[in-house]
Amino acid sequence: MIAVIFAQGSVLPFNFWELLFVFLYLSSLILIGALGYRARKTKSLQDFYLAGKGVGFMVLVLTLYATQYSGNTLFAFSGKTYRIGLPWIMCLHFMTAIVVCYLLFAPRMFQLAKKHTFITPPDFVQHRFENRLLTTLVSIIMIVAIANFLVAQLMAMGRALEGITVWDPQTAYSVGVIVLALIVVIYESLGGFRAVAWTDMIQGGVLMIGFLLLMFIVFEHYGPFDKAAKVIAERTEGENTAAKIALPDAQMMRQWYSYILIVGIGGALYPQAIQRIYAARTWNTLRTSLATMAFLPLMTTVVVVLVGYYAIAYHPEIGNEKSDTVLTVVCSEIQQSSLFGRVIICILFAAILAALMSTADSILLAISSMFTKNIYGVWIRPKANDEHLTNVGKMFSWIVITIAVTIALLLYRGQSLVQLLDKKFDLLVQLAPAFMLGCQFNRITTRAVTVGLIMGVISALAFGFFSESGKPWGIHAGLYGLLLNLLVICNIELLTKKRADD
Amino acid sequence: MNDQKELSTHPVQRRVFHVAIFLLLLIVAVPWYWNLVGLDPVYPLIFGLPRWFVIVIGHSFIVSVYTAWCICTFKFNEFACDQPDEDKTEQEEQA
Repeated sequence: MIAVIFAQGSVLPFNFWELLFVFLYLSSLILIGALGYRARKTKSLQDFYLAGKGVGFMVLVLTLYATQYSGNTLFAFSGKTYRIGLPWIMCLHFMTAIVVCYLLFAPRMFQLAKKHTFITPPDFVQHRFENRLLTTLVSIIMIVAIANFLVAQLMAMGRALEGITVWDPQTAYSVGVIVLALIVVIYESLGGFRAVAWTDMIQGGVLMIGFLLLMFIVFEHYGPFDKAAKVIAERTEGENTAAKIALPDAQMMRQWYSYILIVGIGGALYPQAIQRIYAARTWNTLRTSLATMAFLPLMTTVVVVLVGYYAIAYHPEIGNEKSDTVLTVVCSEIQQSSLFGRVIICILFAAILAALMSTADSILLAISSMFTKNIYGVWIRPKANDEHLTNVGKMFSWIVITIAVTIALLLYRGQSLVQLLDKKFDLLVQLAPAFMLGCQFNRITTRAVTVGLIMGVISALAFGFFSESGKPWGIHAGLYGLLLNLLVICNIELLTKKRADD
Repeated sequence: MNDQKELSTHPVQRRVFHVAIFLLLLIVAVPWYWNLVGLDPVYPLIFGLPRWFVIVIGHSFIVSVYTAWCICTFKFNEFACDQPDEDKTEQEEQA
């Protein structure tokens, strides 16, 4: 979705100084990777994937922020507001729900992670259920669920360069994908989590400033909301526009609940986010970071929804088909209005790149760590030492990024594969019993969780494929799968208990 | 199963209370009750935005405050197992 934005939008090509600013920003990321490499203390997996004893408050909160909010937040959310109207404020609820869901397992998991030196999310599953097959299954589901997200970020990076240069579009796209992917994999394999967290800190900061600037310039440019509301109400070409600011209908309200549940649960189970829970230096660090995270949706998602609101009022010409270009169109208008506008858009562009790269680097690190620790280190070389595993992890990162870049280049105009694979939340929520119930209940057994997980994944995929929208009756397919998953677990637990009583 | 004791003893009442509050907040998150009480779906506007929209943002703010409060008041000594060593060290340093 986000991959079409820049190409279809009309941001003016950047001049030399603007391109130099972007170049310096990107170069600084490699420098940080080198600093991360110098700061390493041992050649252990823990040092590479969790920065040794972990990170402090500022780094943690900004890396969590940069990881949770991707390019999707900026483009897809403003586009969706344009399409369905103000009811998309539901994104504020579901982004907050992610932090609420952390309450179910983050404190306990952090405690266990510190005690037993967990590195990847499946490490918790292995510790809790002591079953290598279940751990491998969880690793594979997590890798598959987030891999498509990596391709989507790379495609958006290509579109970003395509949008700001005067080069041939396909050449610019290819250069964007390859160069930006190369920068990500270089700083990631140099400094591991330390470099990723440090760059995330810069990227999170730039992103936060970007959101604030966006609100400021949009308000400055278009004027107060009353004026926009008046324009929408007075528009004669249909009730449809006015309906976009009205209370949602029953179907939309059902979807609203569905989104809160699926994104809240699924987003909390992002492997890269769980690794950040492990990486908190102390409980106080994690506690303060999560408490701060609870408020960040208010200053992030509300801004993009309001941009969409202005676009409904002042840019009816965009149309639903090109609604994901809403932000680009708004930026273009501001860019043309003044020199100050150009400067702001340049910073905003850096924020967009920051959002894309910080999500991509975290996914890459999570995939490489799960493959190395929970698949290679268990099934292929069980006796390998930490140094060997760390090297394999770095090598695997290069293999993953090469595959992802190839797919991104092949999908230059099409997105069908990405859409086909875009089932990440449907898959991730099936892991909720293993992580959330596993943390809370002692009695839950390995067999019940394994069978429930398999049934949940199969039914979520089946519901998704047999329904055109992926949301039968307005409810996400993954939630039907989760319901079946939980029913299977309850049944097996009850049967086991009955047999034990007999 | 390792560390059976680690995965138990958060006071049940406190846990049930928090879950109940969050469920209540979830139920009223979506403004389905708006039509039931006969309010206009758009007007009056508050700061140029529909009233239901402003109330949803206000609700979300309350969820954020309650979530932050839950996180900040969470105590590790409510668990059976020890606090992580690093935390102990930090508290000792602060003391």
